[in-house]
Amino acid sequence: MRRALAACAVLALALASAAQTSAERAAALSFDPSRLSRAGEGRWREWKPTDQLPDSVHDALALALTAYRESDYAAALVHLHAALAREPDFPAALYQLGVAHFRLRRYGDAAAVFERFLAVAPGELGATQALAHCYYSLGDYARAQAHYERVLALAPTSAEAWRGLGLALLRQGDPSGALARLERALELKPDHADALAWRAQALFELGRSEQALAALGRAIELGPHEPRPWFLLAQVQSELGREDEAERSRTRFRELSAIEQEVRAQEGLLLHDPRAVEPLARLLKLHRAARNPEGLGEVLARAVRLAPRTLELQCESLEAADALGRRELGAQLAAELEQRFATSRAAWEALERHFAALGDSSAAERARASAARL
Amino acid sequence: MDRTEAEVVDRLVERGDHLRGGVRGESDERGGAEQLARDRGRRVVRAEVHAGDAAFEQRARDVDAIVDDHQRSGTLALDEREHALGPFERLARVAALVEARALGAHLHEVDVRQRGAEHRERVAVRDEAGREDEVDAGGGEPAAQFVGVVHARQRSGGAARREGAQPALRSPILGSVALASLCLASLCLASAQSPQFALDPTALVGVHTTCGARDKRFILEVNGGGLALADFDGDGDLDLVVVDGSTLERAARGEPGFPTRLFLNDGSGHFAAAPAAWAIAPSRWGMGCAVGDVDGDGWLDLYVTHWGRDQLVRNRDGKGFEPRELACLGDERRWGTSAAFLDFDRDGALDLAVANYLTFELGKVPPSGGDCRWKGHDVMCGPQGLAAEHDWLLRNTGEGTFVDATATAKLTPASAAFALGCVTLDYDRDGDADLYVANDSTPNFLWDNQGDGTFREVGLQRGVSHDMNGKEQAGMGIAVGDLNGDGRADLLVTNFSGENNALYLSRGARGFVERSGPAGIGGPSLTRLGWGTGLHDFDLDGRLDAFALNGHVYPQADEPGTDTSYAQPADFYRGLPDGRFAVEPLFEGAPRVLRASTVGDIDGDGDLDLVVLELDGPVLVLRNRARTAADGAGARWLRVELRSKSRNRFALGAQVTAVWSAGQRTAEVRTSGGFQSSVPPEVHFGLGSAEQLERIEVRWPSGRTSVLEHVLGNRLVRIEEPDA
Repeated sequence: MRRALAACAVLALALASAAQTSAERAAALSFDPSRLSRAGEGRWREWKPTDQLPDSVHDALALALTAYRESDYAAALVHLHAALAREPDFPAALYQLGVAHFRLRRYGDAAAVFERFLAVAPGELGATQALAHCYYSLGDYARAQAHYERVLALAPTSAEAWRGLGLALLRQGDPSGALARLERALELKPDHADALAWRAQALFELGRSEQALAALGRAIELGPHEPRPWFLLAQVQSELGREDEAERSRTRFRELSAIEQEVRAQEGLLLHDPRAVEPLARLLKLHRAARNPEGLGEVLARAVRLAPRTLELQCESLEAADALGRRELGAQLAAELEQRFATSRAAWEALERHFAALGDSSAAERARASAARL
Repeated sequence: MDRTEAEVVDRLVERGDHLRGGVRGESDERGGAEQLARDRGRRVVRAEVHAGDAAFEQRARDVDAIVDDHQRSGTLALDEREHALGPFERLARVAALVEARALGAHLHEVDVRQRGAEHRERVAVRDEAGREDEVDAGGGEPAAQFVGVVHARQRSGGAARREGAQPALRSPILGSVALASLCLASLCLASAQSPQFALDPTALVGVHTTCGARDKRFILEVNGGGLALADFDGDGDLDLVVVDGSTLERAARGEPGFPTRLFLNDGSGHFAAAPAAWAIAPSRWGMGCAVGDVDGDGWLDLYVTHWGRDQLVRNRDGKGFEPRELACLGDERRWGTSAAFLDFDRDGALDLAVANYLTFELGKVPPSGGDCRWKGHDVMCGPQGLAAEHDWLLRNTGEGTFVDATATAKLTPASAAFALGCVTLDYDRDGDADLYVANDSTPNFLWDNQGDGTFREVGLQRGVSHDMNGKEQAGMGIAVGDLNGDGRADLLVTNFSGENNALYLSRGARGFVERSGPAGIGGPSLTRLGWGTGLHDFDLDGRLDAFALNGHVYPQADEPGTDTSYAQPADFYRGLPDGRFAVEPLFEGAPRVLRASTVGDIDGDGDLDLVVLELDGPVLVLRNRARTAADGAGARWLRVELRSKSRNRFALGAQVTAVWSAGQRTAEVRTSGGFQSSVPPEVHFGLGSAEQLERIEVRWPSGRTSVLEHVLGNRLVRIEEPDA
């Protein structure tokens, strides 16, 4: 009974979210967060993240979180603005507002919101680190550094903050300082592929090319689909006189870079139109081509939540599930495909590939025959 | 500043020379408050004072005596808070206040808080609406340090100076703080610096250009026109070419755009429209230009790129232009941007590289308001989704006519790119002309001249195609210069907002490495969209400086959430002794939407001036203050012109190395550079305080060399190519 009620509540929230007009979303995107009402001084000073939500913001915050989980950040802004109109400066809403702006790549607005969050709820580590990320993204490396240092003063085992601090120092021309911080990050989290790649960058800048090469090898092992390590690898190999290897690395970099560029473009489209189907299908194809299981899994989860799916998205989702070895999901998607798109030759061809991959030759043959009839 | 303050400052200035020193003007450190202020188009001055400076104690006593004097006479009142101020804080405040006065501007707000071993610097910054940001400026050395930040608004007139004192002092506390800070005014005069360039509204009056409508619904409307400085009439000074655009309405009606115009220099850096003999017939929609002597007659000719067919006009012995018909100049849909003269096949005749952007057809490209979005806002479409055009290489037949050599020279990448900037250089110093092309949204090209009449693209291999992260950028303008005196060309490329301007430092035969971050220009350029640029020694201190003109392509950049703006401040990158750059305002005034630039000594005073083009606005002349600000002793210079024996009379491609007591630098003679622009065919060196050069070495395009020894500075030297 309780589960049924909870499901109803979620459904109601989703419907309310879907009912949002595009004008509301546009208005939320056009709203300067510095214009938000302010609470009286000290109003939230005693607030703790474990405190119960005030009734006045409960629903709006729940809607915002639902929208956020669906990657619909503009919708999240609408609800968060509503929450903050009722309870100015309510820290949890401010924090989520900052996160939503950050996800929308609106770093200046995100920084302004996080600054305000920290003013009303000082000392919160997550917001301080988020603020550091914002300033880094805005090119203000000195301020990013200051905020990473603040985080580390209170949480010296934060690998992410050590990594951020290392990057901020590297950007300011201090590869030695950067190297020490990145190595600290890797002590805490040895398989941090990005920290490994940046450590390689610092080593390369310090003229320690052989060590850079070793670090890159591990970074590529952990994230073979990332173009940047290949880019640096080519430089390091060239520096070491291994021109043939460098050229092979450049070739791989070109392939992955082209994919990454399109991934960025498609993700940009989804940021402002989170229910767009074509970018999702394209992203599935791109992540599969890059052999990027993390990216593929994320987009597949998003595609599965979206209904109804187009033929193209259904086929791409099936291919993605097969590539990830998600047999149960694959079976479900295949059944849906057969049911909804039985008159489509492309659907049967996708099913043939799916069954062949599973080793079910009779089903594959049946699908091939169905495709041939269309 | 009210009358009382002015009197105090004046008195301190009178007494003040012995107080100078102890305040270091520009700190190497760059704090967040400064950047915030710069981002808002305001000027920032820093003053650092270090505890333990013995001389400072005496100065502080002098200051206290002056303050006491004024208190006794009733011209200065200190409240309780100001009495509590330490002398270091006063110094920092004074730096800011005096800077405001030096600018002839209103002090808007200053606040300084201590930074020391246990405290981080916190600087309160208020904008004119009273909105306050308190930002952490980083740092944390044990010595007590204070930083003064001034928000200064340009004064609109003499009366405003008096009236303007009120907003500056509207807070009683801050007002009195400012008064207290006056006590060390003279200390800070040494540190106060005006922007390197000053707008001269009398130098070029009423010259505007047009590039479509202001709402910028099509990509065709966003690049603006081009500029060139060169001595076309042979009178020894630099004349100015302004390439103008058109409107969509004119284009739709099949009417030509606005004509390219020449403005003649009167020798003092003032320009007037050239007589009718110099008129150039309007073509479809002008974009950029290149200057070179295509027929070897010793007179500089002009090539103008267009959306549509380009134009070549020949210089008739300094008496006017005449059009030259060329067969291979594309169709009406092709869009040319920058162009560069070079002698790629070393036959002595100047060939031409043309950067092409894309194919644009009216009625086929959707306007803004359709499917094209940027950061959630509807914007004009392109370049992604439109068809890129291959660049051209036109070979000079020797008679001043050109044939298309793009394919035979293998200047054909696998995929065409959206080219905006191009520049010639001999990056590998093998004696032939290479070509670098800045592409919008696609990797940049470095075309390596193979020495056999063909090119090979080596941008990725040589490290100049992407940024440090391996991300392709949206390249616009290009600057070239030998930053570290190693004789090799380094590159600065201006890019889109969200991308840093890229500084590619030469590593010799191994290519380049991107180092914009360590150089101090990566972060500050991230929110800018850069166009015209140049690498020269503008302040004549012996180190190269640079500049970047900025302005977005989307008017929607002013909407919330873009992290940038449509109009943007122009940046001056002052070269520092440690190889980094200090980012400063290029000139005073409100942010603008700037595009093309050209560089040259327009008034013959020895420093390099700028002409810049504001999109849909005026063409502006910016005079360099290097020679007027200094007494001349620390700002010496040398200009070098070359005359070769070949038809490449102005020796484009020659390498000139100047060697003086404090260093050496190599510069290449070229007219290409920046964005859609052309610069004079000469090289310029800042020498600092060196009175003479030990020698000048010239490597001519023919391979011959010349050496001149003991050359005095502060002059223009013309060198003729020796006989074989």
